[in-house]
Amino acid sequence: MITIVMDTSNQYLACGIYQDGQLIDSYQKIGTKRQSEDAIPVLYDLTNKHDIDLLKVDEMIITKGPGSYTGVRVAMTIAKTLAAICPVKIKTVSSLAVYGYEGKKIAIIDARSKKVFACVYDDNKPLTEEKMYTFAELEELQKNYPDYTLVGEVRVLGLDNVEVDLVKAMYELGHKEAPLDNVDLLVPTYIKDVEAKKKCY
Amino acid sequence: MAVILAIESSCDEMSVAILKDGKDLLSNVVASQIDIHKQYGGVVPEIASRKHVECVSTVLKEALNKANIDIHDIDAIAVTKGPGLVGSLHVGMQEAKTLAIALKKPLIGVHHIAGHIYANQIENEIHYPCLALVVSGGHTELVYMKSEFNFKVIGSTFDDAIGETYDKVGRVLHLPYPGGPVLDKMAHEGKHTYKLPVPLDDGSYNFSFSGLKSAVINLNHKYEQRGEQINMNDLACSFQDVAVESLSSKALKAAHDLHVKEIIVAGGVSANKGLREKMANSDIPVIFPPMKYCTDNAAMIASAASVMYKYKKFAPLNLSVKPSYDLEQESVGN
Ligand SMILES: [Zn+2]
Repeated sequence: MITIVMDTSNQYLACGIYQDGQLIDSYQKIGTKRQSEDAIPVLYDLTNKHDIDLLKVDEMIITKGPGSYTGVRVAMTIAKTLAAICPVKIKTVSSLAVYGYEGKKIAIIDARSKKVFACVYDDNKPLTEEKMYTFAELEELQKNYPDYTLVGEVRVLGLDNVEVDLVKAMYELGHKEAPLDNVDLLVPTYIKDVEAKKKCY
Repeated sequence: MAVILAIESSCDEMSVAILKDGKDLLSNVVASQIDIHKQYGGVVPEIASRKHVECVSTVLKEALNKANIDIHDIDAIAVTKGPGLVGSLHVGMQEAKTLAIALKKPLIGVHHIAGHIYANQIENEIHYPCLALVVSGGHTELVYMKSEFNFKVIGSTFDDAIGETYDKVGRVLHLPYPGGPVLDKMAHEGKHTYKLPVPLDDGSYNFSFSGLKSAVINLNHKYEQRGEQINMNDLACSFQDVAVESLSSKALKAAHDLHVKEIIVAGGVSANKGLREKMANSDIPVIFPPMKYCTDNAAMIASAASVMYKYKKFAPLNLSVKPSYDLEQESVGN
């Protein structure tokens, strides 16, 4: 059984291949902002190196957001396209839950304009809703959960980044999930509405 | 030749087409979002991107079903790489790259305007040397093509594109979006009564439409201030006559100067009836694409890609989308 995991939803490009529960190979890189260009070359290199036929992959686990709008759509488009041409099962996990994997965590992701998406986890169990917070509101949230570690895109708060094994977290969280019944209906978690009514011609 | 699966997602349409041997269009599915963007009076980029990712797999499946082919019979995957809205382009690009690596077929990155030009080759042959008059929401250009897939931009607009001008005039006159087709229809019910300035009448191959646009807006405003009702159909007719005359006369002058065999019209505004009538009886053959290939669609991308396939113009897997790409750089030969 071959499983591919992929996250392009925020600061990382992460991709991994599992065979029967064992990690075969993985790639994880932070801060390139080139997920759109690099996601497919990375996926191609990994599968090609291990002689894996993409049309014969059993399942794909992706993050569904929240995160960068364009970023979230990269892995999701890859998964939806693959599911349209082969029997691969698609599973999704929250981008926040992946950061919040194991232990007592407050996971945050940059939502721009001095805001973050955040969710509190106790051993993978979400204790709050996935919501958008201002920096001040986040401070309040932290007061309510004093013994919880802040994880994720903590650099927006001026803190040092702590490397997380996203591939492992995605696999552990997603593998147990039931696959989607209808992949065609899959859409990213945006949380924020489109506020910019900017037009093009 | 070859079977090409092409994807177009540069603005508010998600389209997948499958074209065999350059002429046999097996399917061309277009999912339009026009009804959504109408509410905002224009395309909202983030909404367009969201809709694209929503329908990406259903449009693909419908195109494959309609074409009724084995996916392994596809020889190459083509996709619009730009110009266009970056967020929208990204979705089509990821889809194309996924298909390319899953099916182990080459990727072809197509310039959107090359696609519009080669919409003329789905049902006809293009005879070189020719002159392409590119008229759309983002472009107003004269492109000299001395041979197949060879582009030299000899004239362009200094300000607004022609399609953009139509939309802006439409908005000021409170017409429904998009204003172009509505103005075209109104023009046919009116008379040329209002005097409007002839744009950039300088013997060059360049265009300028902001002056004409302002003149229409000012004239309408003057009537409103006087509390009089301007005849909207007559205004539409006067505007369209001047706009279409500018496009037609510059194209014909260039066509004569460069001794081309024909003029091919490309882009969304090639659906304009006023322009079609104006150029119908020119002394140089003028070819318009069939109406169904005037607006954005993947069949035209597949048509351009069929030519690129012949010249093995394949793209690397790290191909980027861009809001603008230089058409001349796409040329075969020099
Ligand atoms: Zn177009």
